[in-house]
Amino acid sequence: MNPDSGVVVFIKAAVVLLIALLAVPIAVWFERRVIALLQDRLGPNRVGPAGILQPIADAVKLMFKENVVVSGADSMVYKLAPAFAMVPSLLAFTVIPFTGPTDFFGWLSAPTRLQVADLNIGLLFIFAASSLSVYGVCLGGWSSNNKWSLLGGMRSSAQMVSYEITLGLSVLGVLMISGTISLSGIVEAQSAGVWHWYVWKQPLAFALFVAAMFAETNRLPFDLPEAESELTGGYHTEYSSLRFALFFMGEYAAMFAMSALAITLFLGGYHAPALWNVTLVPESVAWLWQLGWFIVKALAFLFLFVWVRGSWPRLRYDQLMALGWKVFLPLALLNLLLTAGVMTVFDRPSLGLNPVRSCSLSPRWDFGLRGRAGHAPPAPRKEDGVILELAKGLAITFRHMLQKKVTVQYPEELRPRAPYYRGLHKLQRYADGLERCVGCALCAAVCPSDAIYLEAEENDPNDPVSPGERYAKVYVINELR
Amino acid sequence: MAEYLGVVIFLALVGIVAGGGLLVSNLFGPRNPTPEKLIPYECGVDPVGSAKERHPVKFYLVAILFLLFDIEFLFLVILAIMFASPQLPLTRGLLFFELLAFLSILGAGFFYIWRKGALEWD
Repeated sequence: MNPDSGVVVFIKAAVVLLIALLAVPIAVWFERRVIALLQDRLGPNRVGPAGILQPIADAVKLMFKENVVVSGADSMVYKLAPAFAMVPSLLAFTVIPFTGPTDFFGWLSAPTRLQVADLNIGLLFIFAASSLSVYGVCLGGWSSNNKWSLLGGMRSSAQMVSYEITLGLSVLGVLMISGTISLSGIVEAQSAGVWHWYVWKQPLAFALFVAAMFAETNRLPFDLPEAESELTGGYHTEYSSLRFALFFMGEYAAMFAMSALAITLFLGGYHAPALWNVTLVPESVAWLWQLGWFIVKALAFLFLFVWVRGSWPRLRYDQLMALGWKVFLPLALLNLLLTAGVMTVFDRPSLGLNPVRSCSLSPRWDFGLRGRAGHAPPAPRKEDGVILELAKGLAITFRHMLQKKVTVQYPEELRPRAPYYRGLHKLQRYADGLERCVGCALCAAVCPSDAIYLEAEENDPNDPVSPGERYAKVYVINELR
Repeated sequence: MAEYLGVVIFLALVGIVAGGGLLVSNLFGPRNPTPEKLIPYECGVDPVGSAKERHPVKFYLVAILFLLFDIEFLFLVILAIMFASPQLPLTRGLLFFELLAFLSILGAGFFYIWRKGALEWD
């Protein structure tokens, strides 16, 4: 078949959409399991093998939940905002090349990529599409008639546009080396093996891109729009049912789209590391091999997302904006200038900056750990600079991830009890069902630790509770005493 | 323009998924609104006033700055592409000089807004 025919394009679009939509529940499951391991828990492990069906169960549950439209909400905008948040983040998948040229086992007359649209402006298309999702978040927050939501939406849009500049500027170095903005062109330029991936030539740009990527997708440590401890969920506070799920899907799809972009630009896209590229796999299934490598790299990014979420604290909003505008933006411009300068002088791709050294921090760049000037913590401990501290945080959670979890699988496995445990307290009864206790309160009087509280009441002669005149209306043993 | 067919098809498919999602939850979900349920959630406290009030002008400032820098990004994209394989009469040296001139004007503006406090959030 002709690879440009509508049928083939449709099938490719459907397959890519399927990959994107399947990626979301897997990502949710992966995130919940990994973050649980990082926190010494097990995470969802009941629905399906190892809990993998949990996101499906959640989606089905959400489907049958009520669609609440808050009073005072701008109904039309409120209902459409989730779609506005999800569609653009999925749209970014159109230009990502998932495999190299292949004829899919001889099905097509000419080789083509598993890429819905090989646009010559691919990179700009992604930036255009993904920045549209600001609308969903912003409108969702604004139309909810909720102050938290509004604040979350505003914060989110300011944050996303701020970091989009860094995102764009950090990419420029790559463009200078590759000389194209077609994503397939950029991937092909890195085909010569792992040492030709642009991450080595543009390490600072890669670091900036990854950091801005976290901010763009509203993930920790930049998840100010959601900030559950202050905004109770931010822009999606008032959303329920599948509308909420669409926001959620949008976030995870954006995570994948951004990871895919980072892989394409800096990590060689679908290329396997050099040695394994040619020798191991026959020509006809090379595209599956490439797709596999793409997915492996995407999972590595997903793990990074989760690992960082489990390890680092959230920035304060002014720190977030300062970091974006006063640190990342100048660094991105510097990287651009250095790349251009090195290319001009040496006429070969630049080695960029060593990101660790260039960021090893003077006190002014010490975000989040030191507090603001004048509000210094009472006993400042010795600090090693932000980069090292952050690395230490990652190391701690990683160590915990590998530890064996101490937990009880409750219904199957009962916790050992003390031999004198007789279950919850219950009053003794005669054979005819009447309580033996007549509410005399002697037990309360003699109890050495004063743990028994008792209120007696007269028996109703027609319907006695105990054989005596009175019975214990309230009988409590306070086992904490 | 033929390659945009894929974008159109993909957009249609995504639109169907998103629209279907909105529709399905309307079909299956119960509908049982009560006045209490419809109150905007503010941690259990009755909301005071409308949410659509004035909010800090800072956010608009950020939006305007973003527009400037985004346009500048587009200029730089073109320059970066040309940098990879400059066509005569352009050379890398000339392009580098242009980049320097562009960035110094931009940098002056950036320095100005920084000193003016447009980037502060206190």
